[in-house]
Amino acid sequence: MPLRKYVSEIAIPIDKYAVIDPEATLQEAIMSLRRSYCKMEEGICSETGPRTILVIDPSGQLAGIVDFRSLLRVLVPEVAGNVAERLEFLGVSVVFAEAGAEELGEAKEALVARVKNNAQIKVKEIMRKNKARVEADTTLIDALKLIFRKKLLMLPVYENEKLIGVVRDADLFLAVADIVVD
Amino acid sequence: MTGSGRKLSRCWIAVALLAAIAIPAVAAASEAALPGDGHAWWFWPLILLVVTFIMGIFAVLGGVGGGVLFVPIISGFFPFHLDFVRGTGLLVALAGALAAGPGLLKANLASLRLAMPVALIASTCAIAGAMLGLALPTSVVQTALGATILAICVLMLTAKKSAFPNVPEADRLSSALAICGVYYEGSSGRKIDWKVHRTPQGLALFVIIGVMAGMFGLGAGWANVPVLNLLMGAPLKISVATSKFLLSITDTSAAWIYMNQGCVLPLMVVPSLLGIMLGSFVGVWCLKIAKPTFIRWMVITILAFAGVKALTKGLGITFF
Repeated sequence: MPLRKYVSEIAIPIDKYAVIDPEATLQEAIMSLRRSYCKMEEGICSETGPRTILVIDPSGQLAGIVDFRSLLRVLVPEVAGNVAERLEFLGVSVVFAEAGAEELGEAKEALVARVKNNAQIKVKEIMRKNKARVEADTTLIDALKLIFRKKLLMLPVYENEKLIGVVRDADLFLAVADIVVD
Repeated sequence: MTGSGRKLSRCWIAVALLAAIAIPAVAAASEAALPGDGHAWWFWPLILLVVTFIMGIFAVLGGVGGGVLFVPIISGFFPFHLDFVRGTGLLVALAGALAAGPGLLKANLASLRLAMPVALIASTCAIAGAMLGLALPTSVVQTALGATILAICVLMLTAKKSAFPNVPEADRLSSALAICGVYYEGSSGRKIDWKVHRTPQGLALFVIIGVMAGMFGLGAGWANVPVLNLLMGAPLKISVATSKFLLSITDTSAAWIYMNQGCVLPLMVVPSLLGIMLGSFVGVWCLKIAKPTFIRWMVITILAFAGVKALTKGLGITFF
């Protein structure tokens, strides 16, 4: 029975997952994510790569997590940010329109420069705290319950208080899919 | 009909409907009523909300600041005393500037180096202008307002803009104040180095601009941009963004004077501010679909009409 397996059997080992230092910039985090997502040197791209980056402090402890959404919110605040941030950039367009300037969408035009600039923010400033963890001998069904209850994308897997890997929602989905396919 | 065509039609129909509802209501209300004449407390705020909402849309489509339209139109066609209209106009212009300020600074378009010396002069003069405006008889201010509005119309019709003015050499004052910078030009993907010249002349003109901003409560983007762009040679985008950021400083100074004199009525400010801001956002949405040039002509005509109305009202002549 696939769901009676333990998470340690399907978890991605920590040395294969995207990890980053809290002092690193978002640019470095994105590069780390891309490397683990798409092994360019081998020309192989995974469609179910990690959608999160683990922030590991110098003592090896899990300090936080950065995911796609938190990255996009900071990189492109006028689109992915909160209402105030989106209004702020709409306000920039109003300014140029009121001045009769030919170029409208200022926010859009300067997008490249701003995204690059925003990518220099440090990871520790945007990372969120990890809400849950599982032990290596947790069953997949219990991990699935936890992911749904806490609305998570992944769970860090611990063994004897040491972070050994990550189990993602995609891995749990594939475990359930195995039942259907079998 | 294409998707954008349908959106455009919906946009114009909505604007036309609002105008159709608001204009007869205002006309009837202005003729029949004065504040405190028995209308419910929400009557005038509601009328202001609707009118300023439409004004906000047209301001953006016409390429003028909402504050420039607000003071002449509301003072000319509504039964409010000019002092309250000017106080409200200042806060309307101020709110727009404060809302856009952080975005302009983040995008590195508003230059603090350029804004600070100018703001020092303009805000000092705006305080003087506000005090002068409140001390002078209303008819004198109204006449001067009418003349200024007509001058703005001429400026809107004649002033050319220069995206990248040629500045052969920075003058000594701007070099000493380090008024220069770099910004990323999205349309060409280049970094633009800019500097300014004729700084003493520019700063001298900001004395007049500051006084007018404070006296009339118009905001001053219409004057700031030509001076920064055409006279001092700052790139157009830098001029536009710095001008808006500048308003948040100069108008704050003048607004205190009006507030201290009791000329800021929340029942006028809140609906006007909400109306103009919401209208501006809708205007930008409409502008993303299409930019009808006739709207600019229409706005200039309305502004000229309001200018003549202010002039005749100030001179005590009744034409219309």
